Amino acid sequence: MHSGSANSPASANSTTTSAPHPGPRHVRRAARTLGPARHTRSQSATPPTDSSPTIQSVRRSTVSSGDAPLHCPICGVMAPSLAALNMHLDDAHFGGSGSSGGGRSGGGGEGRAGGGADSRGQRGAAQDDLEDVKGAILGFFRGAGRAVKGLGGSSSPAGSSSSPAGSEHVSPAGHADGAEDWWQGGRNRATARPPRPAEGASRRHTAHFERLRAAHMSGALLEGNRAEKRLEKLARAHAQHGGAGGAGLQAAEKLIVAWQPDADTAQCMQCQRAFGRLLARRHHCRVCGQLVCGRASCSAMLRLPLPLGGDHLAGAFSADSTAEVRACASCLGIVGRVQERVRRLRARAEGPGEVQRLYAEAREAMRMADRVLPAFNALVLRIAPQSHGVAAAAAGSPDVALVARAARIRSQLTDAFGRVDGASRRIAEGPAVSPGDARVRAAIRSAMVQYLQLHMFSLTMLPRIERKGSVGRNSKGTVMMSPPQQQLLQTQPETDAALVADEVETASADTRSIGTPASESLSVSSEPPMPSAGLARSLLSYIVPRRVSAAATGGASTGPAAGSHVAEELIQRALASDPGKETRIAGMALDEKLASLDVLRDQRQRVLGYIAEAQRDRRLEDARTLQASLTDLDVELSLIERNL
Amino acid sequence: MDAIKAVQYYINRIVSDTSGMKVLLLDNETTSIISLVSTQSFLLSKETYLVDRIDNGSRDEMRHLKCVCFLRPTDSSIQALLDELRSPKYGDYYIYFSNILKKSMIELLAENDENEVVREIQEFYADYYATTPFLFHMGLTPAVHPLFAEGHSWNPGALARTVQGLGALLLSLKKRPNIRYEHNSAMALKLGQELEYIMDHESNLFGAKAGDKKLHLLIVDRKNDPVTPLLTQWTYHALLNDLIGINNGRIDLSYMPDVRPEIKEVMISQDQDTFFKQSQYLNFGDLGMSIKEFVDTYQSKTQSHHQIESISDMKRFVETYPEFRKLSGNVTKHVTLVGELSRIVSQNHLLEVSELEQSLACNEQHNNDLKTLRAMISNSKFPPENKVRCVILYALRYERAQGNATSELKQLLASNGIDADQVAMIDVVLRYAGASERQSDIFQNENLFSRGRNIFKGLQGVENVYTQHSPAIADMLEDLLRGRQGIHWQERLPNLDPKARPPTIGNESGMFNQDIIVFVVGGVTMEEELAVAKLNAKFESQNVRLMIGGTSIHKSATFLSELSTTFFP
Repeated sequence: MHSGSANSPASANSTTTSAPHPGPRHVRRAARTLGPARHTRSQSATPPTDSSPTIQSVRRSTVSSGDAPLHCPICGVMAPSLAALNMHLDDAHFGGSGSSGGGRSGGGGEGRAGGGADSRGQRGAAQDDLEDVKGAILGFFRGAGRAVKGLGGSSSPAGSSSSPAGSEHVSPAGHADGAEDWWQGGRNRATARPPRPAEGASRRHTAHFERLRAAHMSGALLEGNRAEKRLEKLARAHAQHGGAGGAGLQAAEKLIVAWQPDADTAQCMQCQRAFGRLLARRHHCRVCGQLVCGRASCSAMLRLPLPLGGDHLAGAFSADSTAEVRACASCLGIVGRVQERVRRLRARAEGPGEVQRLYAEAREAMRMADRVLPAFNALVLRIAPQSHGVAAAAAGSPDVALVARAARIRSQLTDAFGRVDGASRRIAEGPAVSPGDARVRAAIRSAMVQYLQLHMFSLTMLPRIERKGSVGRNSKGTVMMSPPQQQLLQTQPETDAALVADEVETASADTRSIGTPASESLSVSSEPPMPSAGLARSLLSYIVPRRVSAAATGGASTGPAAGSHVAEELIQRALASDPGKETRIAGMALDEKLASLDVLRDQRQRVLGYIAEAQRDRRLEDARTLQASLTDLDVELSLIERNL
Repeated sequence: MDAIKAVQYYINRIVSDTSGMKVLLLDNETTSIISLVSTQSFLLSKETYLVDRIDNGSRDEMRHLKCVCFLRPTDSSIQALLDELRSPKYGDYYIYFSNILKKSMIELLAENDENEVVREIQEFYADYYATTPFLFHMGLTPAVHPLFAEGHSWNPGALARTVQGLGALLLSLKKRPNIRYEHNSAMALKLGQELEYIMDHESNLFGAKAGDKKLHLLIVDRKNDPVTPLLTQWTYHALLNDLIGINNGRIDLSYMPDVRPEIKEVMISQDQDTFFKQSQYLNFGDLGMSIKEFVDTYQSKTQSHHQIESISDMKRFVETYPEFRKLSGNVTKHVTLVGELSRIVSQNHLLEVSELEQSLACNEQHNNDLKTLRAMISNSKFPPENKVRCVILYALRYERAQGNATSELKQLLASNGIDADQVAMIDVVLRYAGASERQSDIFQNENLFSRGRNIFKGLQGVENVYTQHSPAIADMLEDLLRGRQGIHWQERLPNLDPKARPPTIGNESGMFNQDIIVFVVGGVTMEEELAVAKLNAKFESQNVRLMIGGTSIHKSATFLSELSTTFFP
C-alpha cells in the first residue's frame, strides 16, 4: 500500500494530521517532561487547561464551535459530535467493540446503538469517494485535536470513565490512565509520594509517545476500516455469484475496487521484479487493486468473511468461510493487524479468566491481612507483658476484652491466610496451557507461600498468651465459654466454608487422628480453636508434596492406627529415659494441659512444614534434626493426651 | 552515593509502579544489571512471576499478564521490542529504558504499537553494574566492546557505552559533576568531553542537584598505574573474583568434583549475606579465623537444636529455625568457597608469588628481586602465568634502572618452556604503560626526592608482607582528602573546563562536604575498591564520600588479555 498508490490515504494522512499536533502547547509540555521530578512539581500543579469541563460539555463545545459537521471518513455519514462519530466508526466500520464495548462503557450504549443502526442503513449506498474521505479526515482530526485538549482538562474520574469505549481507538485521550498522563505531562509519579533518600532522576515519554501513536493510529485505523469494508463487499459479491468464478464475479470485484490496468506496470508493486510465468504471473490484489506477482512474499489468498448474518464480526474470519481472494502483502498485513485487534478486544470482553479470578481473591485476602496484621501485632504486644510467667498471670487479671479482640482478629487472619493458601494452590494445580503458564502458576504459588511464611508467624504468638489468660479465668476444672470463645464458635463455620474441600478433609483428618473424646471437647473449648489448628496444618502442608508429607508424618504418628503404635513405642522409650515426666504432666491442671496441648500441636504443624521443606531442598541433616524434634514433640503430645 | 541503592531504587519502581500479575522482560545487559542487586524473591514479592529475555522467541502467550520491560535503548533491544509490539504476547506494556532515548526510537515505537498496548514509556537510569555500594563498572568485555581502537584511543562502541553508563550513574545520583581528567591521557580527556557534551545537551536532566554537596568526577587512566591489576589480592571478595571468578554476583562452582547440587552456583551479595558483608574486606589470614568462628556459631546452634528437652527449648528452636536454616545454607557455601580458595592458593604457591610481587611493587631491591625471580622462573612448581606476571612487574619497576635484566629474563622464561605469546606480554605491558606513558612516579625511584620518601616509608615497617602495596589512586585520594595536594596536582588532574568552575578541589586543610567519583579508564581493581572503602571510613567525619568505578573490573588475567589485542608488538 505504501508503494506510492494514489488511493492510499495512509501516507498522506500521517503527514497532514501530524501537522496540527505539535503546536506551542505541546512544545511546552514536552519541555516539561524533560525535568526530573523535583523540577516539575510546581509546573504540574497547573494543568494545561484552565477549566475542567465534563465530557458532555466538551462534546457540546466541539459541536458548537462552528466547524463543518463531522463526516465519517469511510461512508460519509454525518455525525453530530466526535463521540457519536467514534461510536459510528466502531459500530459500522470496526466490529470489535460491538461485542466488547458493552462491558466497558455503560454510558454511551444507547447513542451508539442508534448511530450504528443509522449507518447500516446508508452503508450499502455509500461510495468510496476519495475527495470526500480526505476532507472528512481533516475535519475529523481538527475535531479530535480539540476534543483531546478538552478531555485533558477533565480530571473528574466520572468524566474519563464515561468516555465512550470507541474513543480509545481514535482519540489518544481515551484510556483512563492515558488521560491522566495527558495533563500531568512529565510529572513524575514519585512526586506524589514522600521523597526517598536514594531517588534517582527519571523521565517520562508516555504522553509524547501517545501523541505520536494517536497520529499514526488514525491512519492505520482508516486503512484497516477501509480494507474491512471492501472485504465485506467482496464477500457479498462472492455470495451473489455462488462461489462460481467468471466474468460476472470479476466485474463485481472491479466495481468494488478499481483494478490497476495491466499496461500500467511491468513489475510487481511489492517486490519490483518483472512479471513472468508461473509464480511471477500478474495478479490483482482484490483489496487495493494493485498488480502484484504470485510469490508468497508478495501476495496470498485471503479468506473472506461470511457476507450474511447479524454478527458479521463473528463470522468475519472464521474457519468455515470458504471464499478466498488474492490480496497483496500490504493488505494482508493491514487485515492481520485488524484481526489481532479484534482478538485482543474479544479476549478483553471475555473478562478475567480462572487464574485472574483466583489471583484477585488471594490478593484481596492479602490486603485484608496486611491491614489487620499491624493491629494484631500491637494487640499481642499489649497482652504479652501481662503473661510473664504463670504466677504473674494467675495473680494478675488479664484483660479479657483484649484477649477476646485478639482472638477475633486471629480468626480473621487465619481465614484470610486460608483464602490466600487455597486460591494460590488452585492456581498452582490448575491446568497449565503452556510451559510458560506452568512457570507462572508455580511462581504465583511460591510467592504466596513466601508471603504466608513471613506473615503467619505472629499468629502463633497468641495461643501462649491465651493459655495464661485462661489460667486466671477458670477457677474450677471445667472450661467455661467466654465471649471470645463464643465468637470463635460463630466464626468457625465461616472459616471452614472458606476452605476448599480437601482442606476441610485435612482438618477433619487431623481431628480424627487425635481421636480421643477429650480432644473433641478441646476443639470446642480451648481458645485457639481446632479448626484453626487444622487450618494451620493445611496451610503448612503446602510445603509438603503429598508423598513427602506421608513419609514425614507416617513415621511420626499422625496416621490413626500405625502411627499410634509407633507413638506408643516412643512414649515407652521416653518414659524409660525420663521417668519423672509423666508424673510432671499428670500434675498439671486440666486447662493447663489443654493449653500446652494446643501450643504443641501448633508447633508440630510448623515442624512438619520445615521438615518437608528441608527434604525438598535436600538439606538432609536439617531434616534429621527436625525429625528428632518432631519425635520429641509427639511423645510430649501423646503423654499429655494420655493423661487427659 | 551508594551505587547499589541507586539501582535498587529504579528496580523497585519498575516492579512496584504497576500492580497485578507481571512478566518482566529484559535484554542481555539489563539482566545482569538487575541480577547484581536484586533477588528472585524480591521480584516475586512484587508480583513479578516471570522473568524472561525480550529476544527469546519462544515465549508463551499469556494475555492475562502485564508486561514490564526494562531494556537498554540499543538497536537490538528496540528491534526485539518492535517485534513484540507487533504481535504482543501479554496484556498491557510498561516500558522502561535504562538510558536516554533517541527521538527516532520513540517514533519507531509509536508507529509499531498498532495494538495500542503500551501504557507507559519512561527512562530509568540504571545503566551500569553496581557491584558494591562504592564500586561500579560498565561491563565492557573484549568480546562485546573492545576498549582500544588503536593504541591509546577509544573504540567508539566502548566510548559510547561508557558515556552512557557514567551519564546514567550521574542521573541516578542526581548530580552534575566537576570533571577532572589525567593530563597525559587522551582517553580520559575524550571521555570527559563527551560526558560534558551530554550534560550540556540534556541540561534539563542534568540540571538537578540534590543538596548543595559538590561532586567531582576524576577520570584516571589505568596506564598510569599498571601495577595494581598485576598483583595478587588477598581480600575475600578479591580472591573470589580473581581465583574463582564472580560473574554478576554469581560464582560458578560446577567445575568442582563432587560439589553438592545446591552450591553448584552460589550468590555473593552484601545485601543478603551478613557473613560476606562482614568478611569481604578481610584478608586471607583473618578470613580463616572468621570462617572458623562462623562454623562454631553454627555448630553451637545445631548442638542446641539437638538438645531439645522442654517445650520452651522446642519453641525457641522453632522460632529461630528460619534463621538457622538460612545460616546452614550460608555455612556450607562459605566453607566450600574458602576451602576452594585455599586449595588454589596452595596449589599455585600464591603466597610465595605474592611475596615477590609485593617486593617488586613496593621496594627497591634490584639484586635481591632479580635473584628471587630467576630462582622462581627455573622452578617448575610455579604456574607460567605467575612467572610472567612477576617478570612484567620487574620490567616495569626497573625499566630505567642500571643493569636491567628484562631481556635475560625473557630468554629464561622461554627456555623454561613458556609460550612466546605469554612472554610477549612483557612488551605489551611496557608499550601500554611503560615509564614514557606514565605521568607519575609510581615506583618512587626516579628522583632523589621520591626515593627519600620511599625509604622513609620503609622505615615505618610493614604489617603484612602480602598487603604492603597501596594503589596509586589511593595515595592520590588520601593526599587530596588530607589537603596535601602536592606540587603536581593541578598539572596532573586539570579541570575539563578551567574557566567554568573554580579550579580547586579543596584547600590546605583538606576536603569537606564533597563527593568524589573516580573512574578508571581501562578497568578498576578490587584492591582499589578496598582502598576506597577504607578511605570512606577514615574520612567520614569530613563528610566526604568516595565511589570508584571503571570500564570493567579487572584481575590480572583479564587486564592482560584486554591489552594483548591492541598493544601486541
